[in-house]
Amino acid sequence: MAKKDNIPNDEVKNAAELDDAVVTQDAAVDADLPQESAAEAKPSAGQKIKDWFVSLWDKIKSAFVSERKNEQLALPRELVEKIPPEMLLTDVKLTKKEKVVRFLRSQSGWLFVLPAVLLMCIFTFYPIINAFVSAFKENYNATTHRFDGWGFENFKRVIMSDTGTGGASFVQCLVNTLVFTLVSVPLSTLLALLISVALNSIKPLQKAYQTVLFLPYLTNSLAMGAVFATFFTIIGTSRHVDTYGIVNIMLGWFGVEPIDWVGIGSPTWELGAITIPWAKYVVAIVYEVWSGLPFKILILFSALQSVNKQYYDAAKIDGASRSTVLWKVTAPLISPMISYLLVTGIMGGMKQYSAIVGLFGDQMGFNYDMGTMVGYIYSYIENGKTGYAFAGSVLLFIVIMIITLINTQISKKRVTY
Amino acid sequence: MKKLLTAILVLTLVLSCSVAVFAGCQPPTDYERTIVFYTSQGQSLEPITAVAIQNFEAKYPGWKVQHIRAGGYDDVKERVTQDLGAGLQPDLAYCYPDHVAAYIETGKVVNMSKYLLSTETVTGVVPGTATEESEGTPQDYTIGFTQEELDDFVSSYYDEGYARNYTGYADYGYKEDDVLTLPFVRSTELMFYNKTALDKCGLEPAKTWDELWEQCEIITDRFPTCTPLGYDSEANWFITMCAQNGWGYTSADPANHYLFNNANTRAWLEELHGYYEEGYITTQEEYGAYTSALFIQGVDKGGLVYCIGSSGGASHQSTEAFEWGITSVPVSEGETGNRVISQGPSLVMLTGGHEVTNADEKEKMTFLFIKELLEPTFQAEFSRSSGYNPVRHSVYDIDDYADFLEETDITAVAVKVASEMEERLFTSPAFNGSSLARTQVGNALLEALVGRTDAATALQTAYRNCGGK
Amino acid sequence: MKENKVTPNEMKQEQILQEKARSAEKMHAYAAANSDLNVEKELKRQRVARVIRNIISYAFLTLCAFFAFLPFYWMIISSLKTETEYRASSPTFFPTEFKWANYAAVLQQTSSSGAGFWRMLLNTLVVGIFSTSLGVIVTIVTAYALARMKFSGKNILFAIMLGTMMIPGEMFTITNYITVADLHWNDTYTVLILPFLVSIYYVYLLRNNFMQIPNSLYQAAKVDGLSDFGYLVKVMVPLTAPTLVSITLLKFIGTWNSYIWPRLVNNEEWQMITNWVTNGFSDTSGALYGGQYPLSEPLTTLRMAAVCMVSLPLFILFIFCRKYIMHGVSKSGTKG
Repeated sequence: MAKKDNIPNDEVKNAAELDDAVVTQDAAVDADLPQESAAEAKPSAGQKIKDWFVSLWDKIKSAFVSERKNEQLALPRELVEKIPPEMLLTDVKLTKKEKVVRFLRSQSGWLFVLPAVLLMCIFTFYPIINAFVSAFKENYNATTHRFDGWGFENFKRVIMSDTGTGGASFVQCLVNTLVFTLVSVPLSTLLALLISVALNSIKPLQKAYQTVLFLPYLTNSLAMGAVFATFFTIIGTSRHVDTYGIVNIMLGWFGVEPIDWVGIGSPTWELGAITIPWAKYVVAIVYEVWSGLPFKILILFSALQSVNKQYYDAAKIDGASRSTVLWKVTAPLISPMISYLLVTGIMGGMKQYSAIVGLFGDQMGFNYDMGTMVGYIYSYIENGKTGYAFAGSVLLFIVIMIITLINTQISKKRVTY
Repeated sequence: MKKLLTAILVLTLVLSCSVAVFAGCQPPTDYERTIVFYTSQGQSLEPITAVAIQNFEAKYPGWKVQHIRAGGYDDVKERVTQDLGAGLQPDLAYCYPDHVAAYIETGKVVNMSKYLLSTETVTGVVPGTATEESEGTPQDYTIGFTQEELDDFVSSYYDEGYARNYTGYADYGYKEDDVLTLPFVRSTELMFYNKTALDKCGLEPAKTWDELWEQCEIITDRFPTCTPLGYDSEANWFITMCAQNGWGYTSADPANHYLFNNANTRAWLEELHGYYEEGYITTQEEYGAYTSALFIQGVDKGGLVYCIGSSGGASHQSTEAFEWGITSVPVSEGETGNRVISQGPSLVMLTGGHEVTNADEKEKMTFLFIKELLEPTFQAEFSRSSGYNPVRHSVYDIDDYADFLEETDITAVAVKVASEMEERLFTSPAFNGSSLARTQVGNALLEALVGRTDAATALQTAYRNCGGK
Repeated sequence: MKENKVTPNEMKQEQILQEKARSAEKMHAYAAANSDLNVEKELKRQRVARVIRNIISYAFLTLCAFFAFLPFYWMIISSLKTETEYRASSPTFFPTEFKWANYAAVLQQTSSSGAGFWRMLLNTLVVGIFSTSLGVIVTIVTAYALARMKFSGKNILFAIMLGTMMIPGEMFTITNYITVADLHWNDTYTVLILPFLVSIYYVYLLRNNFMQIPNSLYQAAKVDGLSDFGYLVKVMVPLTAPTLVSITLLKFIGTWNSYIWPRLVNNEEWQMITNWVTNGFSDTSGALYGGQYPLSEPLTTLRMAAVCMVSLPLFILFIFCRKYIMHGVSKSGTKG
């Protein structure tokens, strides 16, 4: 909302715009960047480079230091002291001491983030830096801490699947992960939105439905993976079948032939070098959607609960149809939450591991044909080839970052605060 | 501003207090006097192991053993590997050869040779004499075994522990005759059969593979819904066949570890696929569960006639629905045709965990604890509960144990049949990556068996996945 | 704090509403002028449409609820079946015999070190309460600073924080294990609480929530002389109560269900309730099946019973929190 506010306060407006633009570092920097004039006399190469460095420095500086307006305004001293620094638009002549105090006060936000930053330094940033550095150590083994030298060898081998540590192929795992994520996350978010809207529109039994829909979140994922596996597993030999599993039994009611969903006879499509075990994909995606729904419903439902009823009344008077209300009024109003769910859902989906192991076992299907990126990384950790594992994580990080950037670029246009 | 500062202060205080409180509310484990022991035992075996721990703690007051059940064998390996990286390695752990092949690189694996025949003594007390008031009657215990006791070990089990079995042992400072592991308990594979069904067909249990395939036709004619043979572990089948026929599976030679992709194995897999098409075979992955579950169903309900599985898992084959019998895995022709696989955990000692200052003393005490675990009476007790075979000959001379072997209980019969196979056992070379070869040949067998690809492709894929070109 | 200022944004909304009302009046006038438009008929049509909409809503929700509930139902009935029935070739949708003894058997199982259900429940409660309360406080202040306060490097800090979400957690484990070993934190509660206290997922969620609260409120509060902290506690927290309750709930559930890290860093005495569940259960005393299933064989029905038991406290917690999630906002009144 803030963006559309017409608050006569440049400082605040600037902040609001900043807020909108954040999410990526680049975007944040851009927002503060003064537009460079396109029409310039042809400068020499040296000049160009110099300009480039100057503008880079400006960019970096502007990210850290917010510039203040240099207007002069006569204000009574005692009033100035009362006004908090953030509200002050003008620089009053200040003594050096006052300036220091003022600066420190303006940095009080750091005090708020201090506990989080401290903990993250130890348990998040340090391991990440460690992983990034170790990714360049050839043949690094975390058990012995030995390595052969520095270089890009780990990356090369990981991408070429030339590491001699089992059936996992980088490309196959990447494709699997992308498909699971890009299908299950939007699907479950859409489904969660529809469910939340439906839930919001009913009165009787609302609580009961909400409780039942939240149930999947309360149970241990490991046990649920096992339950799902029994739903889909056919137990039997070519001469005698013990059970087709509940899913096949239920599909049988509609005349569908039993499908070997998770076993060795699972149907596949061959697409060039990669194999798509589509039946297993279905199982994985059904599980992902099922387990992802409760969280999304919880978030979207609490968001819907806080939407002002006025908007609906207005739309109703307008004679808008239900679906128009949903897409044109409701969805934009809770767009920050939808964007949050999509961004974090995709990040989480790309890091999928334990659910697949729960469903398809330690080998992630047959010879890692259901392998995910993290599963791929994990297979190296298990083999003591930590260097490959770290290189794989750096690559995964890059992939997730690219997807997130695309995602935020798209959602930036549609999300309104 | 003041409020804000107070709030931050309070928050920091609460944080640090909680850290202090929880770090200090219980005395931390004294690792200088505690032997940490990782196993893959299930909950049910823990009380048995506790007996050995009690015996040890009664002899050496002040010393404790912390038994940590880490999960399955792979979990033990993963845990120890991570612990070695963090310097938190246990003093003693269950191990398989491929585990030790990974640990050996750290130089933390204790060379047990120096303790095996050591005559050095450690002063403890006579068990039961130590109470709150008195320190107990002192007694000296010898660290090492006597030569006689060492000879008591089943030699094929004992030989698995030599450093020469591990590729690159010399690079890490070990000599070829150094002993790195001692066997704890062992199992092998056995063939369980449905005697009732075989009698109805007028057949005797098959002794050779050829005999078995011939019987399949008769069996399936008589019982159309039954599957004649279930082999639980695909990988074991492949490895056993290689050992029986001398086809070549893996070698210790670092230049050429993987030998399994050859014409003989290819031909055999093709043959297997033919039998599968006839409906003669199932395996654990093909069936969707342990084949023992299919065995006990009985032939009329689609069950197996022959089921090949671990002697340690004999209790899973137990049923009253029909008369069962146990025999050895079928043999192939030739000199090595009667080989059967040897499996089961060994014990490996690791030194210097938790930065203790008395690493030498701890090694000695750990070895004394190993002696408790290998004590014939304890071995007998453990064998009876678990179905695994003991690793010392003298265990079979214990009266109680001899009585147990005469019982008709399936565990007892399995242990008895397995104990007759000592001369036929084989193991495969261990190197970093040997477990990978195991997984891959299992996959290749399964793939070729059900016809997902032809045998040549399956073996080629497995070979490539092991790092071969 | 009641808001008594009208922001330009709300002024705009007011205008829209008035316009809508005017157009509606026009419509009614039009309808009155054209007598062939039957108002009664139109109202009836709308009523029917509403009923149909409701039917669709309920049918849709029922279908979704059915599928959400099915695995859960399966878990519950599995925990009550006998192992023999559970393993039968054709699955039964309702237990033929209720085996309540499964639950008793599960509760009795303890390891020789004495660490059983109760010890692990205590661990989980201590860790759950501390990590949830501290975690939520840290999340609130961090999200507030990122959403509302201005300080140098804020955007870069936030971007970096978001960046950490893109790195698989498995990567942290190796290094963190070495770190906590160096700190001698093994076998403590600290090691279960501190490393995962800050969750950027929730910081991000709450920041988005905070940012939806109109800026004007902040200006007003500042003019009123409210400090940042006062504004956070008196305005922001009540306004975002439903999300905060959700975060508390999710954080607690997360702690409750964690098992990989506890198993790695702590021995059994210091592990969590989910470790207890994943340990596996067998018919130890032979009381259940009289030795039909050997000691070494884990029984699925017992494990399901354990999972059901462990899920129950979370269910109660959810029922308790649900009220706040659903009604928190309607009480606080203002919303942008």
